Amino acid sequence: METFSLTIDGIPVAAQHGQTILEAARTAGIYIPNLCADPDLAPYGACRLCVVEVDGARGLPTACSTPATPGMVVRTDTPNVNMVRRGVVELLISDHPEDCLTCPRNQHCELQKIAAYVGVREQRFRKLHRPPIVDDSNPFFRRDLSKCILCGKCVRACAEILNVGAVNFINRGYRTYIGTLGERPLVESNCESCGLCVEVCPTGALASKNGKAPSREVNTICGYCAVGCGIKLGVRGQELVGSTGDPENEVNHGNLCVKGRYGYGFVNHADRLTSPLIKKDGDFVKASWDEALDLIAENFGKHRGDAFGVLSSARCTNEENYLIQKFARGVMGTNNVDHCARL
Amino acid sequence: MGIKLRDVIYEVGGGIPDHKSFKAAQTGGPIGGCLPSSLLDLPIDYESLTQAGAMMGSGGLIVMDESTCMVDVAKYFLTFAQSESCGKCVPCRVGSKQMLEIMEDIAAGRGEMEHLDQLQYLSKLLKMGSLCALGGGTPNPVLSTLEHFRHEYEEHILDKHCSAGVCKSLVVAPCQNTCPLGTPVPQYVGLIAKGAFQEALDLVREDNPFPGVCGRVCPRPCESACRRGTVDEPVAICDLKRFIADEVSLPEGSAPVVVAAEDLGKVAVIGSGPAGLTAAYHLAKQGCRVTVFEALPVVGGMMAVGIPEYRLPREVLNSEIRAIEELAVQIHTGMRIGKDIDLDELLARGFRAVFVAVGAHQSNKLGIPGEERQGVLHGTNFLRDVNLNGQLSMAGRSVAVVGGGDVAIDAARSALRLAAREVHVVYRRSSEEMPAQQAEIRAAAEEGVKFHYLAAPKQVLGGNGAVEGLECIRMQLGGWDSSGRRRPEPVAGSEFHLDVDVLIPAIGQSPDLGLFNGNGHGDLVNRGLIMADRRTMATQRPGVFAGGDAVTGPATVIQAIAAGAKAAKSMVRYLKGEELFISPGLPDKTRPPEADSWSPAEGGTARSRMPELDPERRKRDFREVETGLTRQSAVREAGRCLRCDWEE
Repeated sequence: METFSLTIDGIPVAAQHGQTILEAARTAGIYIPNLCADPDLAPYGACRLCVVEVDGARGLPTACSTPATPGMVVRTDTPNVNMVRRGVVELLISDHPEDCLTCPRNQHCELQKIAAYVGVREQRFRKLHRPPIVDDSNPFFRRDLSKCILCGKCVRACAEILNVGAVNFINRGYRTYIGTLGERPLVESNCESCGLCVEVCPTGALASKNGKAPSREVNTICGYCAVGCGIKLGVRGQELVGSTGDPENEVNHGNLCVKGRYGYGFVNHADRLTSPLIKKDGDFVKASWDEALDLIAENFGKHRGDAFGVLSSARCTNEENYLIQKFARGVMGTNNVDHCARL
Repeated sequence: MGIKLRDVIYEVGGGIPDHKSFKAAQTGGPIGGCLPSSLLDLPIDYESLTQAGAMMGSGGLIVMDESTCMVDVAKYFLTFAQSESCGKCVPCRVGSKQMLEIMEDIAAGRGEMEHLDQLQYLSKLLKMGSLCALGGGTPNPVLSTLEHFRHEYEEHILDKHCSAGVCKSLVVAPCQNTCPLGTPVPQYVGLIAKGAFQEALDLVREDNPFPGVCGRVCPRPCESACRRGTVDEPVAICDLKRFIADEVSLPEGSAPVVVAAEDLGKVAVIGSGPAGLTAAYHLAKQGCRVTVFEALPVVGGMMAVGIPEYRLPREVLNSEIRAIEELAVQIHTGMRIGKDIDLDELLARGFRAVFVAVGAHQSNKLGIPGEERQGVLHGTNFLRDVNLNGQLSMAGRSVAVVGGGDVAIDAARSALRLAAREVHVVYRRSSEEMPAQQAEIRAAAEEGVKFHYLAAPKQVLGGNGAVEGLECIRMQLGGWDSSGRRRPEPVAGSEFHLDVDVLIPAIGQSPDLGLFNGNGHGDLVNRGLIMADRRTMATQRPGVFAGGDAVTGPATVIQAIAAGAKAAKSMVRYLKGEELFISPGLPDKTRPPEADSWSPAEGGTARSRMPELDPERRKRDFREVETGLTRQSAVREAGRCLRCDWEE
């Protein structure tokens, strides 16, 4: 693709047509703080943190919404830019609870990062009183509007990426908040609990109810359905503590459905069967695999032919499904093969 | 486009109603800006308005008079703009909320000076950081009022006072709020209604040692503010004050004055007028040994040598002065500063602090030919002669007084009482604009003083040194000036003669600071007035304080008393080594149980009329014109008070 050159903070930067100043800067490795911009979402320009000065332009345009143009001279560190940035961060802090240490987003919070970047050391503005508005209805994540900075990422991701539009802005001005149609609890709305909003939320306003951070991540493919989304499973010791979409995966580009993101609880569930059980005298009794497989082989042998059928699962891998049908046809002598995903 | 703001307000709009003065105009609606009187000549254009911090908009032109509080106005517009914010951009959404909270605090008396810096900062942030014009314009009302009316913000923050009487948390009652001294009017009027005259006087005397004087000569701003006036007529507050001062005779009335046990040392007061003596009164009460130096042979300043006896009998003044002297205040007459005694000398002689309250006794000159002739007696000099020289007579003389203030009316009515054949008052504007008290003008007219409105003196006529007439010229009212009054302009060829042989110019006074200047104290003087901080009354020299007419120019007795009280407060702090100014607390607005049982006289109950002597009889001598309310009418009058201080 054709590229052109512009200057950011005195550094020549190559950009492509259609890129914004923020994208050009990001490509060149120049950090411009922002809270409401997201590469997957349309430019929005609400947080005003990415303001820059552009030679010949009036005022302070936002880097996230201003297209880069050939020969453009951009400055990201001027007294006016810093004044607005500091002011915005201070205002956001004035309107935000101070419970960072116990916040689920601690250390992964964009607001924290930007406050550190701007170097806010004191609080000049009064703390605005905002009662916590918590929606605990969703089984997987919790919403606390007192931590919401109204960047609109959840609203836009839900609408632009998911085409669901479960949440939107309610009211205006300082009384604005994010809510559902009819202001019902999330669980009663058309929210699909996919958790993308939680993923894009820069603060602790939306956070997973599972509070454990993983000690390592394992890249794999979601086993729930045949789509084959790439996931990163978060593992801590022997426990599966989280799942996120793999942004590098061509299939899902990081998006997941509720099952892929939150349906991992069974793995370490106490009720999960970890060994075969054989019913003896009316009770299930733990058995070895050999014992169990012998019992199955013995009984299956009595029912070969069309009296037999297999019902496979979308939770199984392609290889497992292949083996199941081969077993049905080759061993049991029947074409009675079916699969829940066919329905 | 290009029409002046002044022309829109006065020519197109017809000016400010009810004789009130213009304060500000808001153009551009809620995100426009407030323009003060100094910008009345601004041509209305897109650029000029933007430059002035306002804007051209469809929001109309809101013109505000003196009864508007600019903090309240800015808060009001900000509330509107803040609720219009869409809520997207952080600076507008949260910034305007922060600004509004600050404004609400200031209006409620919880403001601090650093809030003003925060407002400036937030305004800049909104202007630079918002996406749209609403966000950028939201700070305009705050910014423009901060620029043009910063003193009102400071007054709310530092003095916990709202001059316009709008901000409820700061206002006990409109009367009390308007009084320069903050006299607790509703409380003492309430005591009068109960017949507790002694308690009422004691309450007044806590702050004001001159109830008898004020009850006679005060221009009663409290009554103009009185809310009863919106029902029928204002409560006769001033007459009630006179009533208790007369009813409870001094010095018994001074009995409850408690003098502090502490000795704060020697303090000097220069000038024995209302400012000086009030300061002396409070300083003595707080434990200072006070010496008052007075240049004239009599004590009382303008109360003694300016205000004529028919308005203020000397025994009333003197008994109130005696009550002050009883607090061990020493008064030395015939001691003029700069001549008989010097400021530095006083400090060197062990006076720990000095209060300079020398008044404004020097009449301004007309600046017309012939003013130096014999028979031209300047207003204050004339009144001083009237008061000090019992032999003075104007028998058979024809007198012209020039001016429209209280001094002019005092001079005219005094001349009449000195047997003048006829007395003319020449005033260059119309009767409506005359600054003298309306009651005084009416009384003077009843006594036969002839008023020539819209006329100005041109030259004093006469041969060999004496006044043989006054040439005047007719005036007409032209364009409006910044005070909201129309400017008088001479009508060419309209000259006329007044056949007079005495001319009394009374067009204002200035302090006589000549001796002050000549003695190395020029640093304390600016534009003919002594410079003092308006909160602490401190001059730039440590230990030297100043107040009254010498600082403000000619003003009222109650303003001088307020200055004296304020000065005494900070002088005591100075003597104790404390911070000179400490913000007062917020007024206590808890309703006492008795509030529920108060029922003011029904609407339409007429105000008690002050009885006065018949004009034909009274104009022959200096007997007091007004004779005072009776007990019955005073109690009845006090019952008309609405007790706004108990408003829920």
